[in-house]
Amino acid sequence: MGWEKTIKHLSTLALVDVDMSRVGSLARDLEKIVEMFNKIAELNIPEEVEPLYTTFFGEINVGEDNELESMGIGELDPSGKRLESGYLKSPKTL
Amino acid sequence: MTLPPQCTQLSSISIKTLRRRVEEDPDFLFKYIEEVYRVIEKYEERLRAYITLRPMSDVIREVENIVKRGKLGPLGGALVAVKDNISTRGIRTTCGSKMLEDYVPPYDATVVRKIKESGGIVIGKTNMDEFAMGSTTENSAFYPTLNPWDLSRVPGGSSGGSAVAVAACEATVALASDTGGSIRLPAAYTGTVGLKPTYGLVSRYGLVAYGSSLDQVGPIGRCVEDVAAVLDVISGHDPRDSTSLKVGVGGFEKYVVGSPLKKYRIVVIEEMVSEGVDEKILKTFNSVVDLLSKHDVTVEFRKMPLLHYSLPTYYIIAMAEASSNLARFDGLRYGIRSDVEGKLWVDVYRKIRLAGFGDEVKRRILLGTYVLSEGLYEGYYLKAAKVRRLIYQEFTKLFKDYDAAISPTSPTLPPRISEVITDPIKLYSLDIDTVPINLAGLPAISVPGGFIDGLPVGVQIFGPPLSEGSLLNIAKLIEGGGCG
Repeated sequence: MGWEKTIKHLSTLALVDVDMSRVGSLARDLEKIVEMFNKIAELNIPEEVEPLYTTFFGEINVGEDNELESMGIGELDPSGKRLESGYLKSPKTL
Repeated sequence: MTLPPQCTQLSSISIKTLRRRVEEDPDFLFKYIEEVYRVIEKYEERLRAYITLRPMSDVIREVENIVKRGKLGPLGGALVAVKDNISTRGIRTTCGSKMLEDYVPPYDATVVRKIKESGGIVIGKTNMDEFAMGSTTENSAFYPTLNPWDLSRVPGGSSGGSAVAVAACEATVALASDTGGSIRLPAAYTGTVGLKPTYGLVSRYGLVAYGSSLDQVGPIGRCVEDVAAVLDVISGHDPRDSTSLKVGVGGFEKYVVGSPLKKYRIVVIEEMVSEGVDEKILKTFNSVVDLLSKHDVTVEFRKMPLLHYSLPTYYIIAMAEASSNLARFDGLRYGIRSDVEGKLWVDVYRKIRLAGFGDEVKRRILLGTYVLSEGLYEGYYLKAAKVRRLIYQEFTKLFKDYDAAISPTSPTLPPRISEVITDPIKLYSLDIDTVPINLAGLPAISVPGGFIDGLPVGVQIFGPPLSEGSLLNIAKLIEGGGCG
């Protein structure tokens, strides 16, 4: 798959539109960066090596859940421009 | 301490001197504040260290209230510049992005709360590469910040605004964040001291996340002593940060005594002083090694070939984490608003993120998505996480034999504006000696080691987890001299 096609696919997955007039230079940049990433393919890592996702080895602090007052509709839309019958207008789901 | 031309004697004083002078005469603080604002008025238009600067009248009013209460605290009224990805209640926090151009947080980050409680005054919010993604501060959505030593050069990034505010005496000290070198690189390029703490030593509560397993908040100062004073204030356990270490607070100022507190064993990792390091940088670095040797410090050389892989490992992990962390900027939870009438959710998200994010941020989100996608995850993200484990293990083994390691902070002098920004590999390579430290969660400090052609050269000292005291002590030896 060429990089321009990959970018279109990634743009859909990541929910970021890409300026298609500049997709060529973006493709060149991504190709270069992925080439740099590919350097780690040279390494043979023993099967038993576990991935390291964090260097924090202490006890994870998990706070208590606190009940908060719900936000008023006015706080979500102080101008009231996006309200209809007291509800906030949202985009369509279908 | 060598200062750039913007500084005056009064605007360049240290926290300790400020504290002492204010204790003798509370009015001194007002004179100091006025002088700093004079410097800002004269130079800020060119340097552009700040995105949001508080009016002097607001700062003076706040100080009057503090002085009335009669207790200034350990920071003694120091003017603290805060990187614009650290939440400040009532002061907008843009992350250098159009996406958050009008975002005003309803709360203070823990580090900001601690600064205020200790007599620090937030003077403003500093410029940065958008969402901390960059090494030159040219990726700010607003404007680039310039290097006070040479206005044709970058100050490093992503915390370029914080470093420049301190270097040019537009603030006493600054808070910044470091994901892969974002405190140390600008410190090196501006002749300031920047410390990236051990992962978990300083709270991340209120720091806008980029790479959560790598991010740390730390101080930038004009001298080691000021950095220690701020670290004393901001370190310590915070129950609001799930990865905060349960360690005691402070005690770092006692390490900045100017003589070795023990017979240190220091290592130079050969891979960090070989490939791509400018000859002139190496010359300065070697003179620092010679200086340490004269202080009864043992310096030895060791190899760590795995470091050849630290740059791709770091960027794969950082981009993967960024693609997840930045999902919240969708115009609904955070970010710019858009007309939604008759549109689909996904189209609204995509348009908002196209308009709100700059090129580098989009590039990293797309690549983060790429390395996490089905069929590629094992070869990129999972493998990078395994390499990270190996790098971590190598450092753990190394620091059984040594107290600290030393390297140049950057392989080059500060690049000229636009010199590296168009080539992502050149840009990312500026971080080659700083990223391994974040991968392993270690503490590191950059301290000025000398000057080449009128430009500062930074030396990086790093060590095992929670060795900040030793690093400050060694940095003080290298710094020599007083603290203003």
